[in-house]
Amino acid sequence: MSKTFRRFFSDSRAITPVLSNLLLTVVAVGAMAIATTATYVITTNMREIMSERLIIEDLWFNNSTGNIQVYLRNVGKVAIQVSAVYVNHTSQSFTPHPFSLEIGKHDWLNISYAWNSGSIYYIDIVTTRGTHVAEYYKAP
Amino acid sequence: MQNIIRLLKKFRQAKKGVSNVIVVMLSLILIVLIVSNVVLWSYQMNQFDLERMQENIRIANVTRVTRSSWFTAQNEFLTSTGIKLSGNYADTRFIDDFHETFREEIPSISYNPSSYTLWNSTTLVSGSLADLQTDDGVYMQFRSYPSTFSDATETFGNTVAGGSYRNTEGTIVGSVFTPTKDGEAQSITAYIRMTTISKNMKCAIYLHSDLSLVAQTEEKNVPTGTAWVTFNFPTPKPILKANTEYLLVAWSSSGNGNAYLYYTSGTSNQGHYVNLAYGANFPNPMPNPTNESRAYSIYCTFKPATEETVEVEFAGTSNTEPWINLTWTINGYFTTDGVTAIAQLYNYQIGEYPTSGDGYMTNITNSQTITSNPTHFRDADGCWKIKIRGVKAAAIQFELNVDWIEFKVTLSDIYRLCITNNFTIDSSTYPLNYTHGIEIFIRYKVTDAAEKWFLKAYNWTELNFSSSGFNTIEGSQPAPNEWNDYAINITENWRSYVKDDGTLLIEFVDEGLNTNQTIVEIDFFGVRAIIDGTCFDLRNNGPITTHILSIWIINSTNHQPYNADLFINAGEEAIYIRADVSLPEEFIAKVVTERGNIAVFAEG
Repeated sequence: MSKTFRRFFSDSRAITPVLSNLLLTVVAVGAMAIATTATYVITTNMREIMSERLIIEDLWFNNSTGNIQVYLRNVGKVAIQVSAVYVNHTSQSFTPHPFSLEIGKHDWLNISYAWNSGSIYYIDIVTTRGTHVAEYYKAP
Repeated sequence: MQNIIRLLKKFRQAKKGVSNVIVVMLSLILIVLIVSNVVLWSYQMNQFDLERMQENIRIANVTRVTRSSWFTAQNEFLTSTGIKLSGNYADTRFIDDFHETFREEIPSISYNPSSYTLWNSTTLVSGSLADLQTDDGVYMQFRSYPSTFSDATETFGNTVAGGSYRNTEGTIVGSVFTPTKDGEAQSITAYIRMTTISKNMKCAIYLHSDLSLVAQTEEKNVPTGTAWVTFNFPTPKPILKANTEYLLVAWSSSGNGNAYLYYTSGTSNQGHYVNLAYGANFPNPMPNPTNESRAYSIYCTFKPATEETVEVEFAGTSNTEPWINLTWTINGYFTTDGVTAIAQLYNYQIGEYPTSGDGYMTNITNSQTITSNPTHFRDADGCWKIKIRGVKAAAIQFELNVDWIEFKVTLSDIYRLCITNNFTIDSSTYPLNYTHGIEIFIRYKVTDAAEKWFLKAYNWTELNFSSSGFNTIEGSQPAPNEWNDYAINITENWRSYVKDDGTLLIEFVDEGLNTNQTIVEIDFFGVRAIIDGTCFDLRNNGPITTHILSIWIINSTNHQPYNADLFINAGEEAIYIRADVSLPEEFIAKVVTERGNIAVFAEG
């Protein structure tokens, strides 16, 4: 028995091919893992951008507060977060900040803006993924 | 061409080509994954956008509503007085050619027994008082007892004077014997040898099955000597059942000498004895005796039965109001022929059960109506009692099976009708918080217009039917043989009439003045909620089902959203009533769908 083991360990003829194949396998698996992760990251980002849908359900030029209130509803497949609000292409502050909506949720977003009766305003709401929801509204 | 062939050969021969192929394949897989993922999601969102474009919801009209839809009967009406002639509750759901018909009846109240008493030795075999409430073939069963006995006597036991004996001093000694006839025990006779001095002795009968004491005899001072000694039973004498095992025993006090009871050879375990100091009374039950194969020389003299009787008294309670008449009904039978039956209703005026006329029947499958002084058959508290007696002139045991006993009283000679039913408002659609009252409506026709008709609602707080808080309590005076509409509004304390689940219990009742029997037809009977709500007339003109998630009511001072959950199939219209949405004078209404489309309705 011991003779058999000694002969096995003294035989060095196949070590190099085995090691090289093992190394190749490890490298290949690692490369594939990196590639798969990169694929997931890339496609997830693309998928989220594609899946984002947001509507302005109502816009209220509120006389009592003097602000513009926008009721937003997330009708897309991913949660959204509003990153900026523009009134006539000028960035405005808004509350709550940050303003986030999970899938299917809806809420008021208050824009601090002194509007004038009878004027037309271009309201543009931008999400963190770059989706724009914009429309012209005339103040009552 | 030669160059291409050369390159291909070179590629074929190159062992590095395998690795190249694998790398290319893996790269292709990754690219396919990326592309398919992107294409798939792109397809899904394109599909979403396409459906959103196809969706076409329109608000045709928005109006203020002050009433909910009608809620009608979901179960048959209960008639506490009167009967239903034809139709059913479903005929009262719509104003159409179908209706449910009722008829006034003389009002009566039925009672059933609430207790019973077994007379003499009558025994209950099975059943309970609950079995007497309906004529349904489920019986309460009673067993007869021997009630009359022959003048001649017979014996059962061992009448042979034995040759061996056991001392009965401080020992209860006897054997088991079985009579073949029902009868009344008169005495026990034992063959006794008393030595040295006389001693007190007595005998007894035990029921062998549970060793319970049936009766004990007189005590005698038995003189010395050997003789048959008879011990008589005091009155009332015990009744013996045929084919029942009895244990006949003797028991002597202690003293000088012995008090032997003779025996002959008996069957296995026929003899019984138990050591117990002599006392005034036999123990009941007998303490665990020792058995032996002896037939002691002891027998019982009895008078065989010549008649069997079953006798039961049932009692109940009723009201103490004036009665027009009284009908008492018994439905039962005896398990043997030739039984003379007597059913009697106790007359409290004369203080006994009648032996003829009112309150007396000779059939237990019969009823009797008493119109003359029916209140004589109840006491001041409304209590009544009925006795059933069956006698068979033979010593044959039998049973009395009683199925139904009813004591029904008629209160007046006025024909009445009173029907009730539950009506349930859909509180999920019409929340009670947004309800301002209740409207009850009935469309009915009567054959006689001599009295008014009333609607009442059950007050769940006060636990009675009431019309408190109704806009009118005058009732409805109908025109005969034509449809009459009768509506009630409850706007004060209406919440007392509505349970939390939206249920109302409504009663429709006559005034109680008419001695003519009236037939009443009901075409429609329903309730609805009084609300200050909004009705949306919606139309889905698109080719796909739409799901409305939100509705808006907008005016110059407020933009108010309300959550909604309404599906409208493609091409269909829907009436959507919201009790919690009040319309202002001028408004804009909007509905928002799940896909993000908005339909707007502007008044005017």
